[in-house]
Amino acid sequence: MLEDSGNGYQLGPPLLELAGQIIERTGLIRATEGILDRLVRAPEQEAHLGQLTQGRVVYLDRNAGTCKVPMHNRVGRRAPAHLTGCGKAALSCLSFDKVVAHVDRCCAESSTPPPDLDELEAELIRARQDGFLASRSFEKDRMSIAAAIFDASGHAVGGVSPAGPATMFTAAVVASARSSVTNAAGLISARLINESARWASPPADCKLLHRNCGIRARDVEAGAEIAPEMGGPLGSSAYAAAVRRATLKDVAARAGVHVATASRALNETSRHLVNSAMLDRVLRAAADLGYSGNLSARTLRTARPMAIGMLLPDLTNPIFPPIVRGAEDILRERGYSTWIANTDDDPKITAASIEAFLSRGVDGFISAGSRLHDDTAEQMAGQGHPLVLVNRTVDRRDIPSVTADDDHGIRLALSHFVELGTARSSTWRARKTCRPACTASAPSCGASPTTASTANPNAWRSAKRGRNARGTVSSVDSCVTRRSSSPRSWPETT
Amino acid sequence: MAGNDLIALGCYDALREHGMTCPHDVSIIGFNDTPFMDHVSPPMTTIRIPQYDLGREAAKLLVDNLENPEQGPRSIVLPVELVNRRSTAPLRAN
Repeated sequence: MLEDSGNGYQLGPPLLELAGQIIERTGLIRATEGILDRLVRAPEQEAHLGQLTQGRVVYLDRNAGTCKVPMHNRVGRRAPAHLTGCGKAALSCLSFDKVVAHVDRCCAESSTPPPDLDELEAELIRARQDGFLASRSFEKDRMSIAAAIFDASGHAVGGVSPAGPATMFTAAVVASARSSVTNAAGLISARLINESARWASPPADCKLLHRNCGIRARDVEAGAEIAPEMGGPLGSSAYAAAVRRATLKDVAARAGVHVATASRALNETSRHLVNSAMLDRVLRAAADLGYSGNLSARTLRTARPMAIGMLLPDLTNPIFPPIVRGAEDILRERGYSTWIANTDDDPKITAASIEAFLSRGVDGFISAGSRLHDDTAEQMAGQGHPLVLVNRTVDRRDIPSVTADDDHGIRLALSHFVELGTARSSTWRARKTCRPACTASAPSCGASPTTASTANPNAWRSAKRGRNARGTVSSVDSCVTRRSSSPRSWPETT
Repeated sequence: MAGNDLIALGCYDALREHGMTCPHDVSIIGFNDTPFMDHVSPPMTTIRIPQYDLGREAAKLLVDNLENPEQGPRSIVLPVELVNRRSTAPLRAN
């Protein structure tokens, strides 16, 4: 603190820096990069990112769209969490005892009247069941749709919300905002968790995550299809069950059925195996406990998007389908889905595809582009996106790759010609930037003319004399020219 | 010897246009052994790369990297083989 010309004190720079570091350490702002923009659908809307700190929300970021609106929650402002959408979304994940403690403290500190606790509890329970919260702001005639953000330990660290004039939030707008805000919160949570997984050891992290959530992947699958139903007021035990994220076991116990029956009833594909009275009981129990398809919670439980983006020059090139199939078979086995983009080896299309994959959430990339000097691959690796190259390498050797032994292949082909006595072969280089550089003259490929001449020195010398008068090379050139002039030309070497 | 099987197929066409036949006048070896190269005429002699396994190994490598980020970058080279079909023949005595 610095002494202010005799009248008191003002904040010193180290204190401000410390505050900045504390905010930065949560990684919340970084995890939200690019997401707030997408939440704003109309000029009058804006999006907020709030961090929950001791019962208060601190606004970390705000996107005001194209039209400045008279809202007062500027970045850095603190507000009692129970009065804001972001704050209530985060509070809905705490036990109500803690909520009450926070509310009491905030009200005492700011000498404001306490809210109606019953009303607040009902609102938080609904928010918890729905995975989002539509509420009137403490600002006059403003409304927001908020969803909670979780960190790797399963704690709600804040909320994200689009907000705007209350009049524009019709039922249709609320429904659409609901899915985009739960998606956004899920993505931010996934990024936060990925970020912490970078420095924590993943297995321990996962265990912690799953223990805190009290849920297993199987439960998530089962619960994914349940539409949230509005239940009546819940007792404190139900609230507690909801707070620690009800498991399949909780649902089965409440419905008085076996866990396997509950699982069948909750899974749409096996639901027909359960009789209707039983199904009704299980669904009611699931709704009562808030065992619903909350996207941010689901993302939290699986911790990662569990998807891989595959970048291919052109899937119609017949070499790629078997590669894709092989990759997908393994990925499916390991719980990942596979997304494919054709890039035509165009850097712009490649960049757009990567961005599209990242915005929807992928854990990593497999790339099969055919260029040797590939800035995109280097950028991706530089930005820390897990990447494996398939059927190709680039200059940077620290990027993992899976390739065939092309050099040996060329050696085999030349040896075959030598055996047949046709070693007067004509080869050419299809494209200088390509690998495999399938040419006997490429010094790097190991299948140099020397290799062939070692096998049969005379054979290579006769090759140097050239082929017969009709000339293989000219035929080859003409075919290359024709191919590249066709509208859909495949990369000459893949 | 062509950079891949599709180029080799282009060579088939070019030879035909010039009134030549493969492998009577020119022997051709493709590369990759893409699907159906055993059904073209003549069935293509080519270098087989294990395409399906390339995909499998790439996916394994990526998932292993994701699940054990501390391990360093690792690259894999898979073996290839010559598939001797009908597009190559001994040199004619002329």
